[in-house]
Amino acid sequence: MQDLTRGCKFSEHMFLFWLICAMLIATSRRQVVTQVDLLNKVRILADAAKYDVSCSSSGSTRSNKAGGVGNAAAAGICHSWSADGRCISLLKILMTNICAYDCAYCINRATSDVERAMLSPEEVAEITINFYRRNYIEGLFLSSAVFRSPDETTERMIRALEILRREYRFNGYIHVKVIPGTSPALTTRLGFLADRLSVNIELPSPQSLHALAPQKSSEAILGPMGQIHDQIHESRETRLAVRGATAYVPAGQTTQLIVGATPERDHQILQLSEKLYQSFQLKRVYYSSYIPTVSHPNLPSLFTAPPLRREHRLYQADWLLRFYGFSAREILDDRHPDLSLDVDPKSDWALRHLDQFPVEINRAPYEMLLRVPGIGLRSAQRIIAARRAGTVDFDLLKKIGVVQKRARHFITCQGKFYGEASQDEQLIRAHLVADSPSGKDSGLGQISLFDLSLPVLSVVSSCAVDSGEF
Amino acid sequence: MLVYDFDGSFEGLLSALYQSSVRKEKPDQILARPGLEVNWLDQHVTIETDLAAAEKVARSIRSRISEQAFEHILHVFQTERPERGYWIDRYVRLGFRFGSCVDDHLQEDIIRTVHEQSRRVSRETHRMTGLIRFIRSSAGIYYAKYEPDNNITMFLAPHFADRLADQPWIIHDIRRGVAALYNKKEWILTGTVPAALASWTDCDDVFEDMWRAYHRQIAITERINPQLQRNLMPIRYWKHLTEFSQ
Repeated sequence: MQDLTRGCKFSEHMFLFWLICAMLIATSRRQVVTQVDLLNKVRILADAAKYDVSCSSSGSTRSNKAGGVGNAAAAGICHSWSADGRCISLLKILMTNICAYDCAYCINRATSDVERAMLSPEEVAEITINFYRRNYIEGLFLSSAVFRSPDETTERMIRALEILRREYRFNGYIHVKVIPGTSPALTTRLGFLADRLSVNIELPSPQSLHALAPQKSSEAILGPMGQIHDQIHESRETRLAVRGATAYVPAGQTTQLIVGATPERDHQILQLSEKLYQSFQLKRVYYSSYIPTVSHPNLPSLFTAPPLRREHRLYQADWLLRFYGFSAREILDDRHPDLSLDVDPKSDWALRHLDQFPVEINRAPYEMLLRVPGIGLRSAQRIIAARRAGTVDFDLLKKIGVVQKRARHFITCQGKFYGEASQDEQLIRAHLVADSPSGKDSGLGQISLFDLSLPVLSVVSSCAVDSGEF
Repeated sequence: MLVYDFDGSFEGLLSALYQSSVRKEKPDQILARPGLEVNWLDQHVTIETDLAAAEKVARSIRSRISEQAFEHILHVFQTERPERGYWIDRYVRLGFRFGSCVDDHLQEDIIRTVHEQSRRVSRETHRMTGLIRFIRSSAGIYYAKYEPDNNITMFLAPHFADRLADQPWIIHDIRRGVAALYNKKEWILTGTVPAALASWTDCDDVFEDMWRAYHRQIAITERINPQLQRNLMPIRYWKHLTEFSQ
């Protein structure tokens, strides 16, 4: 009963306010009881959704419509950050965690002993719109356990989206996770209501998928990915011909896979990502460090720490694929199957290709600047701009955001070299490790509270809004 | 030292730029009059705000330099830093020399400073599009108070006027006493805000509790990292966030 009065924050001089509150409580007592119930469901179903890493709200640009509520911003907006430092952009929630499947790695598997709950489509829509109106969120990220069957689950998700889009005239961002095994017709309906769809590829190889998620087949995953890809393409064509035609998945599709639960090497993972970017034109592949929540003979033990640094390196390598013009084969190959944990993937690549360095900052083409460790997208663009205006000297590099300590081994400025006397790979590697922010702490997950000198970039959140930088 | 002082408005600063060109002078500082301490060693020129002159300066910045340069100036002005007049003056002088490619000249300290300050303002604006929190009154008015580092309410209002178009809202910068008011049709910026607004508290709103519960629950225990959280969301912003109140 304490719950009923707790929320009414009154001070002595606000007697009138208190009176109104008291009256409201009296009249809506029944409602309050169901709201406490709803709050509990949100707690259970947010908890069940939290391991899903993707959270970006980028990729759609849409103005609001007359009489509607909501728009979408191309760059994505973070509304808060949770205690684990991940950006909260969307209301990330499951419709239900009551599951017919029994995937070994999953906390919500049928045989797992967790509290279960289910939200109605009406409730999902109501929470979303109310969070949105208070500016808590950028939109909805709806997922679900498989309730009875994939199609039945998807019908419920479609209903929630229809209420949001039609009854509430919600025009903001919606990302829906496609349930493997959903019929193509339902996926199509979903795609016309959502901004982004994603099908989780779950594990980096069909063998691992078979070992850990026997009820999901690679066909059930790749099938919908292909369908969504084709329909996005079709919809773009249609919209060129027919102005105002409803867009299908305008923010594109993404996927997610779990790292560290199965024995795949990094080069296999990167090649898979590259293929997904090329053949399905995915917007993002998300990597999720495996966090042991269940014990299973095919899985690492419950005491295994999540491989956070490996995950971080995979994201860096992923950025190299998408924005820096690297191919997966350049970053890793059979002789170097895993990303270095000591230095970032670009430095690692450069160290193995010292014959291509140093490059002259005042002459190197943009594509080559991007390959220099310590130069990011933005600083490469600034170098190009400054070159149009004059020459670039070593001091200027630092002022425009180049990490001088890293770059100095690989560049010359007006012919002058600022690195070590010998171009020895081991020596330079040792310097890079010593100078790197990650050299100062032992584990990404255990960064000291007192290490205030640690730059944000060294622990860039895996879940940052797409900024195209790292 | 030659010091120009202006009334603190954007038009006032542009008038100062106009005067400096008419008088063929290069002021060492251009400062806002409110709160100004006059040093008797300095030579002071008091600039009267001249809307027509300001308009002329604005037009020539936009046509002879670039729209982007004008936007930088607008942003830098809202930092309210005492140096802003100097920065903008020097930037505009370089702009008239280099024309539309002024922003390429990163070798010039002043260009980098202007970019950096301008970016600070746009970064904070972007951040606030996420960090503004509305409280819903029983009358259905949504009220948000906040204390941004820069004077960004005018940059923020258009975003919410488009997004939350069908609800009346108020965004209140309680430190500057500036608010944007929106009535489901258009927004206005006002400097006269009823003081009572800031002390306004709400009755029980179940969605506030729900948001707090959600916010707590969504963090992954195995990855707790308060330092990272604070780096991304500086603690000075927490005061007005629903998720940290109560």
